[in-house]
Amino acid sequence: MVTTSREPAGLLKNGQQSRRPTGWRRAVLLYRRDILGMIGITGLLMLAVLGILAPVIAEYPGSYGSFEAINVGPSREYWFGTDELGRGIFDQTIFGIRSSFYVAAIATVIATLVGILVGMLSGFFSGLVGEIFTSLIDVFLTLPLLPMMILLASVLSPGLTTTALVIGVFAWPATARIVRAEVVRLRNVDYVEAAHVVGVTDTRILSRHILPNAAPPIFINLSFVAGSAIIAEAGLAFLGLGNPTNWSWGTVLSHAQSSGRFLDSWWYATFPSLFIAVTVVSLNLFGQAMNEVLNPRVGK
Amino acid sequence: MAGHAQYIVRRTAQAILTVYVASTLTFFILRLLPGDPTTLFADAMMTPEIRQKLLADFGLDQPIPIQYAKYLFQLVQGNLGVSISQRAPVSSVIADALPWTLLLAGSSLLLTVVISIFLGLVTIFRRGGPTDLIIRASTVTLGALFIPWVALMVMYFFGRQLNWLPIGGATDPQAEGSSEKIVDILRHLILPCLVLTLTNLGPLVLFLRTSMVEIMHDDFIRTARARGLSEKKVILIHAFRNALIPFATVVGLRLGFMVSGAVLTETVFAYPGIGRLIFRSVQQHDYPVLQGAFLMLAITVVFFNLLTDLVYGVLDPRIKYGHDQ
Repeated sequence: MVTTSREPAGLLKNGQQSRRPTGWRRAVLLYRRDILGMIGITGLLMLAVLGILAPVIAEYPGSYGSFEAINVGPSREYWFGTDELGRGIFDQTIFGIRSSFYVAAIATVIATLVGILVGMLSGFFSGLVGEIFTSLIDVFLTLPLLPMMILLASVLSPGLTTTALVIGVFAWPATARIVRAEVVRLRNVDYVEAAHVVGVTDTRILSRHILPNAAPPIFINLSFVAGSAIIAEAGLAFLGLGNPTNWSWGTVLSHAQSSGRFLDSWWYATFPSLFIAVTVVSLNLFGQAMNEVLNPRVGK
Repeated sequence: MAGHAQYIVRRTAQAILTVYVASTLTFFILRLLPGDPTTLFADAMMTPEIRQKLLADFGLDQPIPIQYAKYLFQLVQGNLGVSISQRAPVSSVIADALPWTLLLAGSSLLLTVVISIFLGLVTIFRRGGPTDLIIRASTVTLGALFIPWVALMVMYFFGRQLNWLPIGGATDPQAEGSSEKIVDILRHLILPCLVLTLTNLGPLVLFLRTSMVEIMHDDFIRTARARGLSEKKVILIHAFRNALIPFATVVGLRLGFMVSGAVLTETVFAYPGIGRLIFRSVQQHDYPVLQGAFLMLAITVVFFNLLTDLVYGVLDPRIKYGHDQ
């Protein structure tokens, strides 16, 4: 809650002339009225707490578990059941929060930075430069994402940071398109033209005048990028492109697939998948609520 | 008509550019591999002379720009190299798998479009009611689910519990006669197609609903209502026809997601398409096949995207190709 409520305040400090009369207090109030948004943020916070408390509430899954409990369904002792080596799925899923959130965070930061850069270059410059970067966005929006990530991941050494990098370098087009639309809209606004006339450099106009005003949609988009990063990580790991020793949700699912007990031990894949679904839905609800709050064009 | 011709030329140029970028990308990604392709053959007995000869055979002793030019030249001729695991031309390995992916993704695309139009219209007719809410919530939730898990659940329920349909592969070798074979192929297609369709419905239903809601505020809808047309006619004849045009673009943009989903679906169902091929090639480090598979999927997506855009460019007289209004 704290980070979200501070965000609009930060924007105001950056010199934005507020169209929202009472700033971030109003944003918090608006957000708290949004039931779905509150559900989303509660879900995310709960996951974060579980992830932080992982060493307390779960046991780090080793290379083998208990030999007396192999392929056991959910029980009081093993809440989410066990795998073919007797390791608890609960432990794997809870420690998976850390890895999956780590991948999502890094991938989102990379994708957003690249997206902002490409989007600004394509939107701000008319002529050849703008044309080239706009085509680049269109090209990467069209190409099938997962096969492209698979190709890159297959030549790199597996690991969480590698996976995050692979997702990040290809997940930027959506952000770039949003940034581009904002920059095109702001390019012809009076104060930007005035800055031009006074002789302010392009870099300064972009960083001081355009970027702060384009920030709300970029910020809203973060949660959607993070959601697709979570799903992409799971997909890559499922296809065998993750590092089998890192417990991310994708790794658990990939173990489930390679154990050959995918169909008989339903709990094996179900629990990490449910965590993925809860995370992605929470992120989407959060993003939609932030859109309602921050986007002046979505008035009620 | 000049506008149309220009639109078609620009759109086609864009498609060619996309394929070119995809090919360039694969070339440089494969150069990231540590070592060189001769190490992939993993033959400890290889003498330096043989290795040099292999490098020369593959053209790998030449500078990168020349390798790149040769690579593009071979690509244009349809030469994608040789599969490491199957010792067969990549083009023929892919030619075996591609029809299955096209069948799966194509049938699912058709089904997705039909169902999402139907559900989108239902949400408009029942706007604000519980049906509207249930459809929106369930399609969005389905889209957030991990595709392999949905596949597992569908397999478990329809294949294992009810025993209605086969849960793996694309054909049963025991099927004989052409009619029996067709039925057999369709029976194997149903479950993977269902999974791919269910997980792709959400964005399309929501998009159609949103654009219909916007259109319902337009003046011509008010005019139609004022003329005394029934609500059903207003929605189906006036609003829906106008909503279909932007809908077509979004369907085109979803193709990439569809293909990504097909890769995961095929893996779980052991469906012999490109996705399954990719999964096997990852296990076997068969880079030429991975490269070919990605390029083929990219070309497929670009081609159908172009097709959608051209058809809808012809259908909608208002369309003008341009980046800004």
